[in-house]
Amino acid sequence: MCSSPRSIQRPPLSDSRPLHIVASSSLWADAWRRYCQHKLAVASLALLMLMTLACVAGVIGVTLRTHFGFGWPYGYEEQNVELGAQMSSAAHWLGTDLLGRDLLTRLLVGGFVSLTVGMLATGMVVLIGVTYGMVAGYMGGRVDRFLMRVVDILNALPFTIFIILLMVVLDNPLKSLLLKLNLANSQPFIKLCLLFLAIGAFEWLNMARVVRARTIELKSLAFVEAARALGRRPRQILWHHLLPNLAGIIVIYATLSIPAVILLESFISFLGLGVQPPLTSWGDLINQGASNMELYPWLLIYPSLFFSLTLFALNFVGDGLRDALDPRTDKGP
Amino acid sequence: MHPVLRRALVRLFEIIPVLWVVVTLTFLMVRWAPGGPFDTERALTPEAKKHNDAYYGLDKPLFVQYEKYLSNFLHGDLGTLYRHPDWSVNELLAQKAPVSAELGLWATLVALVIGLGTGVIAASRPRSKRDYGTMAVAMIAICLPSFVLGPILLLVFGLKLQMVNVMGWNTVGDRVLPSLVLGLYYAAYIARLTRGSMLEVRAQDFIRTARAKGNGSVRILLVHMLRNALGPIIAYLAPTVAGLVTGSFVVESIFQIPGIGRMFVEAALNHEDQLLLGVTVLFSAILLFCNWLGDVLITALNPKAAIE
Repeated sequence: MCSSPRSIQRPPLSDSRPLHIVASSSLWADAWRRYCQHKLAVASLALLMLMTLACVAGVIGVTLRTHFGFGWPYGYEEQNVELGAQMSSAAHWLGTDLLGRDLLTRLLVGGFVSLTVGMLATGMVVLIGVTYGMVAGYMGGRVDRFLMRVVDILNALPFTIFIILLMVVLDNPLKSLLLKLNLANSQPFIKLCLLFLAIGAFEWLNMARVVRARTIELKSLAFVEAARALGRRPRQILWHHLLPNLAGIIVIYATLSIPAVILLESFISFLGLGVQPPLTSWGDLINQGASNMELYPWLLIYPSLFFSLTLFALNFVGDGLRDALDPRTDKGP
Repeated sequence: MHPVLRRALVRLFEIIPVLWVVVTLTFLMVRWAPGGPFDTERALTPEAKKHNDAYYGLDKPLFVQYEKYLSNFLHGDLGTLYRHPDWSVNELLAQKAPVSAELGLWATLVALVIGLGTGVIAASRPRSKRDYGTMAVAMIAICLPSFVLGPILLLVFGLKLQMVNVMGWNTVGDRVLPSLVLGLYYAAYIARLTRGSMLEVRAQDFIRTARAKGNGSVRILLVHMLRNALGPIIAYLAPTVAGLVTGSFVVESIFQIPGIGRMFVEAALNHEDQLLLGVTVLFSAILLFCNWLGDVLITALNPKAAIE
């Protein structure tokens, strides 16, 4: 996968010396090569893929078990109260919690929830932030000033509080709506959607700012001028000419916003305001571990380990991508 | 008028409309949502509910309620709790705010001293073992958020070694762990920021001139480099201090500290809307003020920015 640029030996031309021509490589191939020089970033990427695969496999296994009765040996909400909290054993690799639920299963399902919220909220961040930033940057003038004023005002708000406020305020109407629609069972999932909507609604500000700044830089370049002279409409210019050139920083900031979102989700779930039982997430598991840590320390230690390792890996992948895709920025180790 | 002073005044007046937007937005969010504060109370008879709604003015049109809230707000009155009518939001805030503020100031101190210190140490010899080592530690601290670090430190130092009390806010010893847990994350961030902006300054000509004039390396590091690298650090610090001083939800929950943060979480869990509104407005006001202060400091350090 990781290789230096290929050098092709061409047959000698008129002059008899062999000529080394470096094969052209695309932006992404170049970036990938630079990324691979960053050992820690490569290891982090591997760890992250492993974690994601494990979580997805766990969720698939649990789903198979609830619907068809085979697959994973434990369900994430199956209680075994007589068993209670046990240290790790051959049957339960990471032990069980107070209600006798298998901790590894809960960690994988919780991880799936945390990662999904991270991905979905980041998707929303990209969608809103990129559109907003590109429109503001490309239109310029009064539109730009107004749009950026809005960003400034939103940025001056304590948005953790607003997210919590949003979750509290929308809780009751959501409950009554679900009761009316006979969907009371899906309530934990709806709450989850609410969580990622609320987070996504406030996290896009940074993305919008960065995209706007780069759009302003790009739009004064000759190729955009040429496209405009050729009569392309603004939407085509934004979509075909600017977006591909913005892809690098979009990827960087999206990757950096995933850990931020996961942190926020865990933070809110830790406070008991996020995902609702029996569904769980890493923040929720750490919270439960913290309240029982005196007698059952593993209930705190394993979730903390899973969470911190993932956060660590995500941050390093983000840093590595920034170095690889945007060589101009100052490289922090 | 001096441009720095003028900019400071202009920015100060800009806070007013933003604060108005905040009050309006939070008010609408809380009141517009179907279901008033007494809807979850099963035991309430329709008559009692009607009485309650009338007492708190909830039967009036939204605009009248808004006008009343705004006028009360301008008189410095944030209202009373619905469930406990003899408690006013002002009293509760006055009681809890000093605790959060003290915790926040200690945590700010931790963040500043450790953060600036390690940042300068790392930047003093870039790309050395010292640099990479300190930055790796900073990265680890960033990946250990307060709700991971807090319980683990509490488990080790409180329960196993029994060096500190597990909860409470009475002795000096009770201040140590919460301040550390709250401040360490920000210290790590400030360390990275300090290092980054100092390395940016390092490459500039005036540093070379200062060195050529025979200044010692410590003097160059602290006087020439750090002073000119302070801009981004202050810009980061302003909202951070606001967040720290107005209470950390997680740390106050873990260590059972009677501050605003814990109160806010409890209010959120109990749907105590009036309190939520009050705390949100207070937090926003403090945040806006800190941002203003940071802006003034940055322009004072670099007056060129005020003229633009």
